[in-house]
Amino acid sequence: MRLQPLEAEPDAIYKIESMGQPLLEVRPQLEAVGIRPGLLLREVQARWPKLRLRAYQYEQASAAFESVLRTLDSFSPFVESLTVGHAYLDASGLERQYGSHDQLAWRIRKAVQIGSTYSAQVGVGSSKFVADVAARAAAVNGVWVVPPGQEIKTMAPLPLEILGLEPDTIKRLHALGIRNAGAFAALPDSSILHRFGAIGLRVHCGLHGRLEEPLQARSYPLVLHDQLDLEWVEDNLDRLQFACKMLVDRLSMQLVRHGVACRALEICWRFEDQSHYERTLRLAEPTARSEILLRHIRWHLDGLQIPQGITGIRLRADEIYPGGGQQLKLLSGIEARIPDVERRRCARDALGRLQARWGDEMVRQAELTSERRPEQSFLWRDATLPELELDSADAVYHLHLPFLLHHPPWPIRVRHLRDGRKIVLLDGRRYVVDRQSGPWRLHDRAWTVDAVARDYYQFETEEGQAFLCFRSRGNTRWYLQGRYA
Amino acid sequence: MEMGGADTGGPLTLALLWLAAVPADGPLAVIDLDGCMYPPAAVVCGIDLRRLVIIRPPSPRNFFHVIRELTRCGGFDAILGLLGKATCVSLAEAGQLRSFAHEARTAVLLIHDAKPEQGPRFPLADTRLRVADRTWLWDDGELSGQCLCVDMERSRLGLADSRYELTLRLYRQGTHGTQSDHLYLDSTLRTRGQRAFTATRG
Repeated sequence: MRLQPLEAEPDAIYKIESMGQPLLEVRPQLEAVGIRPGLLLREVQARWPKLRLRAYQYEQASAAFESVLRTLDSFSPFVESLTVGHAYLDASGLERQYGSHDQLAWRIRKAVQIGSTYSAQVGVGSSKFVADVAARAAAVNGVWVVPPGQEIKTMAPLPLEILGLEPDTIKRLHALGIRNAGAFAALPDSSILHRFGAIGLRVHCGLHGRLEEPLQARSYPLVLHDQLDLEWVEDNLDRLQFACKMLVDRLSMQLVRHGVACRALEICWRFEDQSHYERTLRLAEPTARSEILLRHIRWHLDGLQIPQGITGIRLRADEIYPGGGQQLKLLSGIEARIPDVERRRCARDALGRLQARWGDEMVRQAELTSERRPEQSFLWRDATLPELELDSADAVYHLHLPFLLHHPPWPIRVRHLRDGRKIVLLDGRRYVVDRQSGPWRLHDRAWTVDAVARDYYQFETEEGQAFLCFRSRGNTRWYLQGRYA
Repeated sequence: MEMGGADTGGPLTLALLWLAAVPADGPLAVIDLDGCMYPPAAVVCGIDLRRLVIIRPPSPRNFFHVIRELTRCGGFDAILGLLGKATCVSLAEAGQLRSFAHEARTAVLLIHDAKPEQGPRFPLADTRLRVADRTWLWDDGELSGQCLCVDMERSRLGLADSRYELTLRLYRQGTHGTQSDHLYLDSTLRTRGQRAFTATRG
């Protein structure tokens, strides 16, 4: 099946990434006036200034084609699509539901036109090659059926250009006086591979119906979810927990049936004003056991603040893994200590319990970055407690790091005493600076909008505290960034 | 274990070094009530961030709940709790915590900045330390470490009523081999009770 843009769409599509930005697709009726794929954009714009042109964007085209694939999914469970705009569908065994292949093709064409912004050219054949050629040849009617066993007879008048041969091969065939598929199919088998290469051999075998290319059906992400729409407004936590148990049991059965386990559980509460509250509950390890899933929901319910009555619950298993358990060590560790694998699992379980109650943001791990600003020198990430297999990169710092970081930095005031010493005014208190060092200049990302220029100082106060402060060169104000402790 | 020190004291540095010295490769946890813990400082003290989980409870009231969950699960090698000014652990809670920690072989260290006259914050602690005095060290016009005087107020190992002088010094990359910046406990411990032993980490 091939797709063509509808009337409201542009006249031609060009490719941005390639040199000269050549045209990729052109409306068939425009080819008669000389506008054909391969012409460079500047030439087209100069010669046909009123032409409606659009750049080809893979993401958009891919997303748009997804709707077409969904339409095809409703006809057959076996759909293959390796490139955007082309799809193959296994129609064997569909006759009793949709009638003859001709009727099925017309139904598909109509369904695609209704379900998307495209019009489809549908070809039916005994192999992927024949169906592809038939779809290319269906430019006029939109549908072309090649009956099984009559491939050569039906496709014989077709020009060579439609068979997918290389341009050089077509030129050489023309020089030999071979101008259509029938003449090409009549060539002897023995010389095809040697003279016209693998593509020529594929076309030759395809025309004779000897090509066997199995359909590679696309895989679908496994989505396991269940939901419960309450007929009343519920705000009792015990009854909600009971409802969740029913959902969890059903979800667990789905997981077991597919032989998989989930590492996270997404729960969505629907309130009486139709608003939603979603939360992801992380589990210590992938599981399909309903009691573990329910335990996490119970922890989540313990910390749940219900602003209004609940009218619906939706559960979705996330981060799906193949089923099976984790091998634990049989022998205990040093000094009867629990083995590390088991210890890590217990730790993840406890962290999941805390996250279920107070949210993911409460429990975090950090990783270092290469940024120079103290507040950007690390990133928060999910607490996964990975195995320690690789050495982490060494970090290099320009200052003795503070141990407590204030982010955002606290504004302070710095004044000079008559004896030349400084005082720091913080929270209404005065700290006399006994010793100081600096400035260390930090000029970060000067070429960007969020550039910063700071002069860093270390202050030791008479009270015995040590601060890391900076003076912003932008607004000349002082800030307290961290404290040494 | 409990460690106290006034606001100006340096128990956090010592606590992070203690956390890094825990002799196992299992997970470590820091309960940070104020939300000011700076993870790169833990790296400088020798802690692998992949082992370290930082937990910030929504309120000081949840502190005991969090530490109880972490201790009870038996998954952590060590837990460091940074107590806020108003947070303390009751006798019953401390008993529960001690029992869980002993069973799970988890070391628990709580640090606070309460004054000595306010009494202990963590009853039933096996070891109670107090940072009595602290001096900042400056090298080449830059803050490079600190000297701490630590009093052992209570110890089940018979080391009570001792005073230790500790030097925590930052070694720069290049000045101490090819290693990255690291803070070392870099002194021979001198005790008031005529005990002396080396505690240098390398």
